[in-house]
Amino acid sequence: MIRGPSARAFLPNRAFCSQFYTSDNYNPKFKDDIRKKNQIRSDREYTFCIIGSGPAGFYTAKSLLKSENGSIKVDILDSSPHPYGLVRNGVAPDHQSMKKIQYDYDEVFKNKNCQFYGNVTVGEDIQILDLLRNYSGVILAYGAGAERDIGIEGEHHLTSATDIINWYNGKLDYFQEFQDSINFDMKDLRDISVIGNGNVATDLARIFLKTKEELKDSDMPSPVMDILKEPEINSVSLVARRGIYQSAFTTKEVRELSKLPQIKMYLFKEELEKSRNEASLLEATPGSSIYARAINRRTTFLEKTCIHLENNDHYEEVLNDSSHKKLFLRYFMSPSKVLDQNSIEFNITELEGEAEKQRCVVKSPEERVTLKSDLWLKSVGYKTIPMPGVPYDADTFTVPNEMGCVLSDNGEIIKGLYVCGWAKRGPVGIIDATLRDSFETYRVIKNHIDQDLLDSRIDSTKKTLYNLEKSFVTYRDWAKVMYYEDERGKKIGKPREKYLWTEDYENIIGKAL
Amino acid sequence: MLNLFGRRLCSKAAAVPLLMPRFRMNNMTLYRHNFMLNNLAMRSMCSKADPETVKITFLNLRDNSEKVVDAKIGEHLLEIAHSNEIDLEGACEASLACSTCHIILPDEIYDDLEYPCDEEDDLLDLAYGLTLTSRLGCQVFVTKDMDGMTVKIPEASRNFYVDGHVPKPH
Ligand SMILES: Cc1cc2nc3c(=O)[nH]c(=O)nc-3n(C[C@H](O)[C@H](O)[C@H](O)COP(=O)(O)OP(=O)(O)OC[C@H]3O[C@@H](n4cnc5c(N)ncnc54)[C@H](O)[C@@H]3O)c2cc1C
Ligand code: FES
Repeated sequence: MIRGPSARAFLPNRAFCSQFYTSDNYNPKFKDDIRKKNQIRSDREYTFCIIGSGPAGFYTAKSLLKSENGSIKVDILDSSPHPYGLVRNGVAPDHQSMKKIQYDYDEVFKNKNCQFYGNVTVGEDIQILDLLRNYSGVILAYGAGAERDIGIEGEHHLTSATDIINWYNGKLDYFQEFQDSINFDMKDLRDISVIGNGNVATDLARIFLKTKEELKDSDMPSPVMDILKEPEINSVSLVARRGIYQSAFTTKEVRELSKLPQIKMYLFKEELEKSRNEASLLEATPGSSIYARAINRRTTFLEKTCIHLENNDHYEEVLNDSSHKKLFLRYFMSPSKVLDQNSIEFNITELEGEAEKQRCVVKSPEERVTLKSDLWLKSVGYKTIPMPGVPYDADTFTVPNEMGCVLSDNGEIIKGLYVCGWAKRGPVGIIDATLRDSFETYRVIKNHIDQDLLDSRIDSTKKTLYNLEKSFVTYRDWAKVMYYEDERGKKIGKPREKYLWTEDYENIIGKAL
Repeated sequence: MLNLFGRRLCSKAAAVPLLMPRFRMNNMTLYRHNFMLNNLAMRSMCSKADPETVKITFLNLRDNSEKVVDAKIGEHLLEIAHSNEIDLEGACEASLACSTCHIILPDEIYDDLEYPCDEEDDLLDLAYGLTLTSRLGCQVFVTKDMDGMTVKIPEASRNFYVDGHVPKPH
């Protein structure tokens, strides 16, 4: 049965009150005492299994490995032969400063108490119950690997943002599959539109709008670059259902776009005015909520930086002006039907409800506009894929949990099973947010260790992974691949030149995968 | 009052005061410029000895641990934290892309610093548990005036501490 966590499960239960020392009961006199108690102090030996080597898995591993007496071992499993999760396959290839986080991960993988086992898919190659039986604890950090649907007629005509992102990030064995699956010719593209206006949508806009020269420091695979940069992109539109105040991208991302020399950003004056309802203004009033500052800064930035379009004629005029590239930010449009590959019918929406809870509603369904574009991309978010044997909340597409402890179908905490990252709180938030919720999960685990609630285990790996029929990729193996990728990159002045085929990995590490 | 770059320094190094502006200017260039002067003066003053240091306390609000460290003038707070094994993340290695190095400064030190640049502010928007004196550790450089200050590393996550409740299996 699939069900959501019970409300009861979220209520603090006094009976569970722990020995955790907090800032409230902090007293300088007991400082040392507190410090000791907040570090893992058990002298028993534990082995943990982390499923997923993205930011969530990595930060949980990092915290666990900091235990004072080295009594904790961590095995990190990943279905893909390389580590890093979305840092490698999601974060845009021109965001190299963000990708630097990999070096931090490498330090953790070099810890002798940490082992990486790539090419192992939990649920297929090995079952969660096997892991639970043999490890002190299992931590689900497997992210949100599927894309959400909009749920409209003709949706299959749309190209998924994830497909493009996987392709331009050189996802293994995907290059040809992508080329074969798309229903458009890259070189014919001029105007591109994205449904959705989160940071993923701005990534797409930036990658399409930047010139080849501007992408030369990225690690976009060269074969991809050749195809992607063939067309001369004229404009990208990001189309959203709500108003400007509710934009999902962050100021950082639009500021970056606005700084590209050949790009101008546009807003429709009418949509801007419509955005300024009372509730939205309140949402942007500093102090009204923890988000207000960010909303306020972002809106002010957009108002100042974007050129305001008077009407449709003005828009057409700009669209046909070949002197520069354009980014159009569109609001209050909810897709209702995909007419064909190039045209989508939209309903005009309005905001309803009080500040921070505003929803968009379609008041007059007969009022429709059809927008055309050479390519329509869908970027409306992700969802966690259910894992066999693991509870799943089909409403929120996450693993039901309380502070990272996985809850069974009847709302009870499953001993030794934890969750963190996007699988825990849903596919929102930057890496910093993932770091913080992984830390919450870690603290619960630590507390469980301190209270001797978990089983001591030492030969977990032997009993599970060593019995696998398939070969796995260790960190040493991966380091070889990484070395050659870096070397290939150096020759052409790039951070790395990724290998696109499993076969390449096999040749380098000398085993069949 | 700005005078960030060491009143004490001015009185020691005779050549420097002439170059040091005595009025407050609100711009980043001056900040960096002053900063270079400061380093220059430093190098000429203590050519062979270690660079000058001040005492800074890091108070980690995650576990209330405190550590007093010798902080080299001119290094940024993330560097200082790392060379002293203090738990402050720096995911993007100080390239102003991540906000994991969020720290909280004492009021008077914050007030004396130049405003953060737009890019830093954009990241602070996203920082967890933002306060009025929040900054990014990789963007704040140690000055003499920071001697004796306490830098707070904010709580890492949500309501964990609110009621001291930790869920546990039956
Ligand atoms: C396109 C895109 C761009 C982004 N850009 C940025 C950015 O610039 N800056 C930023 O701060 N944040 C960015 N983010 C957000 C950031 O990537 C997430 O916060 C973070 O990656 C979530 O971490 P995670 O570990 O939960 O998931 P993931 O990073 O997805 O890691 C999950 C891992 O689990 C593995 N896995 C999945 N299923 C299984 C299985 N059955 N068995 C074994 N392993 C499995 C996967 O292979 C993967 O390695 C971006 C996200 C996306 C989608
Ligand atoms: S380390 Fe990334 S912003 Fe400071």
